[in-house]
Amino acid sequence: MIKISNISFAYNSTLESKVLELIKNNNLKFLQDIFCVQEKKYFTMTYNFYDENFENKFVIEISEITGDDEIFSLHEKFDSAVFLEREVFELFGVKFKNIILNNSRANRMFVFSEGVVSPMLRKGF
Amino acid sequence: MWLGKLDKIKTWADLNSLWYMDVSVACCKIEVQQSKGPRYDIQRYGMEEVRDIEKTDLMIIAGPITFKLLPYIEDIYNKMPDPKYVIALGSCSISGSPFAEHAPHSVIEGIDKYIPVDVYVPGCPPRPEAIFHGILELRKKIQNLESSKT
Repeated sequence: MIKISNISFAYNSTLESKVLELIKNNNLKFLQDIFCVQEKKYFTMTYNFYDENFENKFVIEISEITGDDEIFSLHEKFDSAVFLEREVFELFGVKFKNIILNNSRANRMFVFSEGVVSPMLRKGF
Repeated sequence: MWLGKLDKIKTWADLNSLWYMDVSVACCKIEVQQSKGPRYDIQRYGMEEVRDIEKTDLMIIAGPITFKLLPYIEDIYNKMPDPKYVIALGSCSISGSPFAEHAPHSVIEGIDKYIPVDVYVPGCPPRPEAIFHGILELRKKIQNLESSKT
């Protein structure tokens, strides 16, 4: 059976070092998914991490993210974060400190030539 | 000297003709089918879907794999000719994801516990761009393996 650990934080600007420390201490090697949920004005991000052998799952939940916050990016540590953060950015408009996303010439994955406006899942947009 | 040149030709041929077998189910299947379509066009990497196990270089496994399906996947893997590669696509095939927590009696906790996996492509489901990123990583891996042999 996979062991599951949960931890949740409220977002603040100094959270990056805490999360990176958790990743290092628990030897988390694999970022499997990032989920985002909107509750009124606030967003909640859920990160699913696994260790090297996929035996321990570590779930980090970050809540109380506002639409104006630019939150830390994990793309330098995990390759998979590039695509997962792009999905969250394009669907919910949550900004990341990500070189690829912040490039205005970067292609969007969900915006097609037919003219779909992003962020399409953000309530009240 | 000639053998070295032949190895280079073999590597070039391996990289540009990765024929694959698509063993995917559920929502990941839709993304795999998208990547085969004209918009993303998987064939520009020289990849062709085959149904003949003897011609398969790569197996793409995606979606929640059940214990009933597992013997067939293992059978396909054992019959594939060397060198053979496997891509695990999506959260369910990598670790079982929600099914591992809520339906461990029917869905396996990751395909890598049964057959060796070369590249993991995370996502729920991964976009075709992520699938192509995984394929490019596999090509890099093949190139490194071949160059380390010579």
